[in-house]
Amino acid sequence: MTTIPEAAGALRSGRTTSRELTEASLAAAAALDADLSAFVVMDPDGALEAADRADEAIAAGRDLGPLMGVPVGIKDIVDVAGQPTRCGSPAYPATPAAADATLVRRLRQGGAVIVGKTTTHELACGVYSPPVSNPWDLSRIPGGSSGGSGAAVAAGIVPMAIGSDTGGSIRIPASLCGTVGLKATYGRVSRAGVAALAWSLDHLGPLTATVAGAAAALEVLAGPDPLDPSASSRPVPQYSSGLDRGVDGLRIGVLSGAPLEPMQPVVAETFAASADLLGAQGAATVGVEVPELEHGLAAEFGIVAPEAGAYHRERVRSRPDQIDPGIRALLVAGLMMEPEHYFKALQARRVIADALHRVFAENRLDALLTPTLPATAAPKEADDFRFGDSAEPVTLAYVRTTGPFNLSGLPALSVPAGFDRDGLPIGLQIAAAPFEEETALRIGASFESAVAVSHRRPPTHSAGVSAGN
Amino acid sequence: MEALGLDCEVIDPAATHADLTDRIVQSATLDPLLSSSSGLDPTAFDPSWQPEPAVAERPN
Repeated sequence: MTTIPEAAGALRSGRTTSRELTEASLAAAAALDADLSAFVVMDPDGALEAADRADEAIAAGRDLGPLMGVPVGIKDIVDVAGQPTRCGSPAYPATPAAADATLVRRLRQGGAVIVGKTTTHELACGVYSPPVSNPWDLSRIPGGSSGGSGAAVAAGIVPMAIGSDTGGSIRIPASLCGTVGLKATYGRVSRAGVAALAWSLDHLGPLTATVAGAAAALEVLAGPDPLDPSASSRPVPQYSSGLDRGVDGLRIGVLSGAPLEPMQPVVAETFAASADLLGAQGAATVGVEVPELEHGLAAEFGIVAPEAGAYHRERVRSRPDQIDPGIRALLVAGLMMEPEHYFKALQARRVIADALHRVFAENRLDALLTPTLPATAAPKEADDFRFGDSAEPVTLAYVRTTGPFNLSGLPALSVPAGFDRDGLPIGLQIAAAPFEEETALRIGASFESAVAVSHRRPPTHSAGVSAGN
Repeated sequence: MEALGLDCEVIDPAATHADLTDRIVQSATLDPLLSSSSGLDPTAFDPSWQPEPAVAERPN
């Protein structure tokens, strides 16, 4: 499977058709998904119909946008009319959704071809996404909760898949699977028609093979929505137009201290090299610390537990046996927490958001860099990471570097930055000021062009699959 | 748990208690962060640093 810009060019020049791209995507899924489990359901008939409509539009000279004719996957917490939304849980019914989520409607209007729904960690509440395997090493997790989307894009089955992100669930699989992942500003992408985890922290966005693909996808996905009061009415920029401007003149903060430590040495080395690379490209890099981020995990879970408990209250009461025991304990505890703990977490969130605002303002930053995650993909059976003499639960280790940007609502982009000695991907996180996705994408594109890791393909990849297979 | 309709066999009170205790311990760790923010209105969270422009969005 090609990238979004490559597909757009090939479709418009007549070098391929949407039907050919879609057949290749379906063939790749058929060949690879027994190993990956990236999809919970495929829709070959609907996809080929949509592909033919896109080909007709192209033949008629109509341009529906950058995703016209491009095969995409949709995380299975997002409503797609006619298909059930199972949220990775037997507690959700098999009843087909009556209508498309707003973002699905936008994708269809833009001519995208929905080939299937991708696997999510149960209730979008976890980073393992079983039974999905990581295309770089099938014994490793893909991350989550958008693990199916990460695996599908990394394996080249689709050039874009939708993810959701409450504490890192787009950026975690993007980093672990070696793809690009964009969590835009809170409110930039409508959440109407999407199952919630925690209302005030949930974001939607794309996982893609390249930064240009993420920019193209956000142009289609972003915008106001009367069905989602949190959706912003700000104008949607042409995110793709400024990607080649480089980083000369930009001031980029390089975070140290909390919440990055502890981290794997190879992640620290890659992060330092990434900052140096952007400096060599002309950015002014500035070392910064935000000590308040030490409290990010307590604030994150202090909000997630009661909000998720409230959202799933009836499900917990009526079908507790159908919910994973660990998730069930979180939901029940969330229902039983005294309000003071929830409001304390909200207050902490405000302090953390203000601290990030302050570090941007005082240092006149355009962006802030962190490693996306402190560690590469964990083995499927691992509960903890070992950092020197200490152990840390895998989930907490992954969420501590990504969660602050859910608490603050800032846009954050994960781009591939390197590999560890086992060939597992390492991600770089680029956060920007609210609604400054253009800046994060511009930096990401510049970095991507210089670091030259996005050409590497995982062992499990569609490159070896032909549409005839 | 009974008052919340959660008194069923599947929901283990010990596991619930352990998780709830963990949440409360985590909450207590936030106290130092909040010591200087007494009176902060937690509902005033606004992710935007700039005022929302009143420009109409492109239709979609």
